[in-house]
Amino acid sequence: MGRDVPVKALFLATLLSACSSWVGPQALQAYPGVENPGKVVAIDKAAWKLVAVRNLASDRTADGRLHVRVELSNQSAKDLPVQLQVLFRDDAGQITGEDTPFQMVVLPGGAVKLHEVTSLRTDAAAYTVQVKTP
Amino acid sequence: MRRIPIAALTLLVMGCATKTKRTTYVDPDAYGAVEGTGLEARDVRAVADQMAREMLGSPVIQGFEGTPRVALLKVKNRSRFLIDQDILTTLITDKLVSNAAGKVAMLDRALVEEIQAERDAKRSGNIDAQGFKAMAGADFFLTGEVRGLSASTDEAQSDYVLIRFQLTDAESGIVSWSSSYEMKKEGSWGVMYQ
Repeated sequence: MGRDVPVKALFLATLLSACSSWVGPQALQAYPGVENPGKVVAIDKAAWKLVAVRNLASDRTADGRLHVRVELSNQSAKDLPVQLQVLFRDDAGQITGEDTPFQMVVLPGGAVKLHEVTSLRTDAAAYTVQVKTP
Repeated sequence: MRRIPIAALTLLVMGCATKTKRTTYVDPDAYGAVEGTGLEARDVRAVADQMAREMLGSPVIQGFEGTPRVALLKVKNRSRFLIDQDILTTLITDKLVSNAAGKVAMLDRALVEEIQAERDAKRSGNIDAQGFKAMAGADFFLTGEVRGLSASTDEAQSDYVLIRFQLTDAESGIVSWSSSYEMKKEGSWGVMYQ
C-alpha cells in the first residue's frame, strides 16, 4: 500500500500535466523564416500539433477588399481533415461581423495546401484564421 | 402475488417508451451525430460562401460600369440527393446583400407576378403610389447545378459531389464567370436526406 502512493501520485501528476499542456487557442507553429504573429491559430490540440504555417500573406484588391493567403502544412504522414474559418477585423481589431464558415479542407499527408479568402467588405483591415480538427 | 411483477413490468415498459433523446443546439459547421455522404449544412454554407466571394471578385463584376444586376434562377439538382434547391441561392443572396450592397444588386424573380399585379393596381388608380419606376432588368443570370457520382458496396457508400455556379450575360448569352466546388465522402449506409 505504501509503495502504491508515490506511483499513484506520479500517475496523477503525469495525467494532470498532460491535461494542462493545452491552454486554449494558440498560434500555429510556423516554418523557419515565416512569422505568424497570432494570425493563424489552432483552437484544438490536435490541430496545433499536426498543422504548421508554411506561408502567410495578405494584400488588398483593386476595390479595397482584404485578400488572405495562408499555406498550411500537414506535419503527419496521414491525410488530415481540418476546418478553417477566417474572421475579418477592422482597424481597431474588432470583428467586422463578416466571417467564413468553418470550411473543410483535407491536407494530404506531409503536403502543403493553399487556402485563399477575400473579404466581401472593404472595412476588413486584419484577420484571424482559426484551425480545428473536425 | 402475481399482480405486483406485472405492474412493475408495465411501469418499466412505459418508462422505456417515453424515454427520448434530448434535443441540443449544434454548430452548423460541426460534425453532427447524424452524418451521411451527401450535402451537409457545413457543405452548403461553404459552397455559398465561396461562390459569393468568387463571384464578387470576378473580373466581369469588378469591371462592370455601374452596379451589375444579377437575377437568380433555380439550382438544378442532378445528384441522387434530395436537397432544397433554393438554400444555396438564399445563402449567396444573404451574403452579398449583407456585405456587398452597392457592388452588386440581386433581383428577385420569384415575386415577378406579385410585383406586376402591384404595378398594375397602382397604374389603374386602385391603390396609390409614391412614384413609378421601371422594373429592373437583369445584366446577368446566376445559375447553378449539383451533380454527383456514387459508388457503393453492401456496407459502404462513396459520393463525389460537384456544385457549379455560373454567371451568364443576359444580353449576349456568354458565360462570364463560373466556379465549382468539389467534395468526396465515404461512409456507411443509412442516412436519409429530406
